Amino acid sequence: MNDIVIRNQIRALRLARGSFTQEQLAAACGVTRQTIIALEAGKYSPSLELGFKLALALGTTLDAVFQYEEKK
Amino acid sequence: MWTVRRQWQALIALALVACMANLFGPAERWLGVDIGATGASVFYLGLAGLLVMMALKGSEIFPEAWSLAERRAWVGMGFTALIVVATGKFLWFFSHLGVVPTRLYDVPARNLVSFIIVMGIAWGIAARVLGRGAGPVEHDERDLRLRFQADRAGDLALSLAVVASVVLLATAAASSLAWWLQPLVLANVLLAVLIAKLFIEHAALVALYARARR
Repeated sequence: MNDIVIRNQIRALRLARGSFTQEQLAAACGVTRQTIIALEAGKYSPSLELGFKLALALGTTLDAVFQYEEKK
Repeated sequence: MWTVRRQWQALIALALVACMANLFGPAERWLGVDIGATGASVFYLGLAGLLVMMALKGSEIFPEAWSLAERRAWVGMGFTALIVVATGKFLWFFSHLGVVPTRLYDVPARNLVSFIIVMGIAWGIAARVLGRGAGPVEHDERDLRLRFQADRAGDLALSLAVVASVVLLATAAASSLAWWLQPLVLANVLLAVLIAKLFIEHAALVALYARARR
């Protein structure tokens, strides 16, 4: 089975919501701001629970926030 | 004009040099100066300064991308390193005594004990000070995931230390074993192993955070 690469649109979706800061998103999801920084930089793959919290906070669905592709 | 971070780094360097002078300075005076006592005074002043800086300018000292847990890992690594060095010095001191005292009160270098206790207290204060103004979330799933991996490194190190102790007990000559099993030597070794485990956990955590950012 090939490895998968998980990408996310957190930064784009957050900025699309106007003045929604990393701090506010972190507070809405119950994580530290540094975790949002790591997520936006693609350096961290969250748990499913945090994925849902992020989607909820960004007012969208899980598949709009996260995408995956198989690593060749 | 130096930034707060640069001042902080300079103060750490000064405190470290003073600490080494305190722990490893010559017993005799040098140009009329008691190196050990002077080193201790400068070190404790520097340590107090570092704690005050953390309390007043904490957000400017560490990079913004470092979470509270990562900052605490760095601080923990520093304090545990100092305690490991102090326990090592204590053991070295014991090895140069003809007869190891049976009571702590009779140990000539018992200032090392107070050093270790002060380091423990200062570490606790530093951890609390760092937590001030950190926001509602002190750690989250990312911190816990990295912490879990770091704890495994500490557990492995502790297991290796236990195996090394078993090998020592099984293979050491009777005279050597008698020295290792003296109450104060054994107590010091156990303390050193425990603190070394904590040091390895903190160092592993620092390395894991750095790797996670790459």
